[in-house]
Amino acid sequence: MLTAAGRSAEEIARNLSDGVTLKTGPYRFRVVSGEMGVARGLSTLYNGFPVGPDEGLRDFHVSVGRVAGPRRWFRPQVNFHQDDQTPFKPLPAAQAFALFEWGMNWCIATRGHHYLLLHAAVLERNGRAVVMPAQPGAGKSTLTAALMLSGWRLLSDEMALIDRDDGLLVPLARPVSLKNRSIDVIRAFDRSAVFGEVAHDTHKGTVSHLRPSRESVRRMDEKARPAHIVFPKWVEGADAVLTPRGKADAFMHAASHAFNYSLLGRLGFELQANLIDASECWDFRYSQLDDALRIFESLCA
Amino acid sequence: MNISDRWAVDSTRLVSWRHWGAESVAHHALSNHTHRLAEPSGWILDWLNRDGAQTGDALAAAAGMDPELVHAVLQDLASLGLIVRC
Repeated sequence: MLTAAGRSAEEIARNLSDGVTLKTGPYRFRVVSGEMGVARGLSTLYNGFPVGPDEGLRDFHVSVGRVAGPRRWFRPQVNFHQDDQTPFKPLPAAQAFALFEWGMNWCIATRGHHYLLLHAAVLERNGRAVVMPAQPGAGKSTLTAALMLSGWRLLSDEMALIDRDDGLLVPLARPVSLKNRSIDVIRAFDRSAVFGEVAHDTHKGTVSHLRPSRESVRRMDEKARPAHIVFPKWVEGADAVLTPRGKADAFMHAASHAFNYSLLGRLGFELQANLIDASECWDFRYSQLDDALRIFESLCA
Repeated sequence: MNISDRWAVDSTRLVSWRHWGAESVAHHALSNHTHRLAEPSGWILDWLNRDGAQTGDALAAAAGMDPELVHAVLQDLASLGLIVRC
């Protein structure tokens, strides 16, 4: 399979109209779209990912395309489809790539039940993975982006996939979704960081995606062993403080961030308990990225 | 009719639990509910699982605990479906 590296948006767009296969971690998506925004996003942010011709087995068949009727031309809107399902309301065409990303998340969250799925970021350093479940607005993605740009391997910004056979964390290594002030914070943190287009006025505010590091993409098939569960919370002006959290409490809190804990029944319980067994559990408050990075370095030294 | 004072874990195939220090969580497969348990609930589940059915008085004597407390915990565990009279 080829990669998107060095392929222009125009070249990808030509292939996309017929369909391409995008591999991210364990999943293969068949993607069809006539939207240049999707092609530009793939060219910029999936650089290095396997993007191949329209063939072979795929886990998900997705498309992003214009709605029918006047909205095809006047203030155009796009829909995301997975097979014959349309899970979201149409969005402005300028948000096509963000919609594509959210759609891919939806596919995994609603169908990936051969894993325990937590709404959490996952990063790895020195063979030890940190799982960060968090509510929206807790600063998870900002911290994730800063860690990745500081050399940590990104497994996921959005979903922890826990393998039912060995309890290890399975990478996705997809772009990091940053919102509102976080976009400028990360631009200032690393001037060489590569961003996709900025989508304004989405239901999450202003959104832009950050390209995953080359190392994260190169190792997207390499699972990681859990070592820490950290519940982050950005608090303006707060010193960076890591506080131990009881494991039973961490269990219940992490389970509340799972997409499919209840669906998996006893297996979900066992996988979650194994994750807690293998991990030290922490609450983490921070306001400054540099302080946060220092503490994370000591966690996985 | 006599109501037995002997208790047992509902079924080791239906109830799973883990301890971390003084904290425990338990899962009941039929209800698919997960419960966070305070001590000595986890210890009592362990004891019943290891030694089979026990009376509340026997458990209290073995652990040197207040029988009233043990009976109250047994009632709580039973209300969650984690243990049954036998």
